[in-house]
Amino acid sequence: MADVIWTWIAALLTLCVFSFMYKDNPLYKFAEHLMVGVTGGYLICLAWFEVIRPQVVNPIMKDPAAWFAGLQFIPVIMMLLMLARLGEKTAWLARFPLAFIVGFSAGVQIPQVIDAEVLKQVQSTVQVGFDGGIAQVAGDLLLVVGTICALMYFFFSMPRKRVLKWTSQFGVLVLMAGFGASFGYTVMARISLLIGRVLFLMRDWLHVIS
Amino acid sequence: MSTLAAKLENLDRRWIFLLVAVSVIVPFLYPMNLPVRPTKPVKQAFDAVEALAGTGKPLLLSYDFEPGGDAELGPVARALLTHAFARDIPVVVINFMPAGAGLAENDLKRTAAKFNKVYGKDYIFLGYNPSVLNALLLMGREVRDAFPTDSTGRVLDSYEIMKDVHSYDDFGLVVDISSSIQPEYFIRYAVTRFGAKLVLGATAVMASDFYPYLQAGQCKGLIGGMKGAAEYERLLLDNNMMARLGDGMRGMDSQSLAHAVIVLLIVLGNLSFFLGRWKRGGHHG
Repeated sequence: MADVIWTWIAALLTLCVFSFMYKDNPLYKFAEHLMVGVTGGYLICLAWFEVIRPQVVNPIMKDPAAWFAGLQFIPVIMMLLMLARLGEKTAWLARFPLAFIVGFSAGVQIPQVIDAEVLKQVQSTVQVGFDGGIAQVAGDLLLVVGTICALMYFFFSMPRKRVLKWTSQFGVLVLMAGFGASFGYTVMARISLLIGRVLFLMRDWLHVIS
Repeated sequence: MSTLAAKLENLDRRWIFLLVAVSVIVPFLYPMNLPVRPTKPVKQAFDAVEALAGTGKPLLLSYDFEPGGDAELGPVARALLTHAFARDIPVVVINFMPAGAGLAENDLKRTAAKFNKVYGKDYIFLGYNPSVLNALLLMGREVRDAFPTDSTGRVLDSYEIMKDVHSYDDFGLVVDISSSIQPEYFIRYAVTRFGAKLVLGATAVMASDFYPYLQAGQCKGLIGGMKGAAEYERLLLDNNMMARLGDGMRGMDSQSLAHAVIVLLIVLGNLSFFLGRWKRGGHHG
């Protein structure tokens, strides 16, 4: 019975949201506000039950000495300092944990980003494989030429004449092909979302399909 | 002709909504059963999971999408879980998106029930962690540092499935199904730093961004959106691991018809634009 009630609620809220396609109306506004409220409440509960209670409250209650000796009070102090932003006079205190987060993230991420997203990508781009036949070689060469030409398009330090003109024009074509693929995928994604809702309404709510 | 162009230019967009809605609804009532052919990136993902069968090594599945991405990524996740359970591969599920925890729990319970899998022995849900960067770094050393307990609050050592599982080395494969930025973190840390084998499931919007990683071998397979899920389901059906059509394959007829309608609308839109410009240009010589 509970399942039926929740299915009806979900179906009616879906229709409320869809009603926006006709025009803005109070039903849509109701669904929108409800979603914001429920999401906020859900996130607060999740933060308490999945993060603060198991990682802060329980360790303190279980063994306060071990918690203190393990220096676990440092992140808790940082967390409390973040909350200092709520007060006008104490807002400056939040700069300390923020500085730590920015410094840590930059230090940890910069070498990994260079390795994973620059070096590995350049390496795989310039590798032309000869073991997959002529189609593979052609595809790999096109990748090398396309990458170089697309980079040429963003080379603004010289006037676009002769070689730079032709390569950057081919680069534009490569970029357009990339944008086209992304747009096609985006259309597919949006239609998929609609399919998901239609499937829910027709199968789980109306039972017109099995 | 110019009247038609004017009509098209001023067409109320609600007619377009209606047309797209009809093109999505009708194939559910009158299926066309268009063929679904698995593509290479999806086959690679399937093979990577298949290679785990019999090794005893668990699959680490990161469930990083929320209800907004469920229509696309839910079928991907369920297909992967079906594959793993059908091949008796242990599954360890984690989550870095707050509203995804409920979805993960539901899918895991329902799919596990179909295969009579036992919680703690065949699968486990370690719950939500708010910091993907910290968690992925910690998991390179010890899973328990990132997830001290499972989602029910019990310590991991009390579960059989976690007995010999400590870091990425103990997982046969890592799969991230995401509608956000987590795959980039998995590639930077789990793959590049700790050498894990990764398969990605991503929304269609994001899929084109991940092809360079696939081409570079940084991920072993890619399942893009509902279409990717449909292809994976096709492989499961062909290998007798699925009894009936999943949500991915069911949506493909609607997807194809809706795409045809959108292509038609793009052509008509361009036609009306050029006709209008030709007409205005004609007046000015």
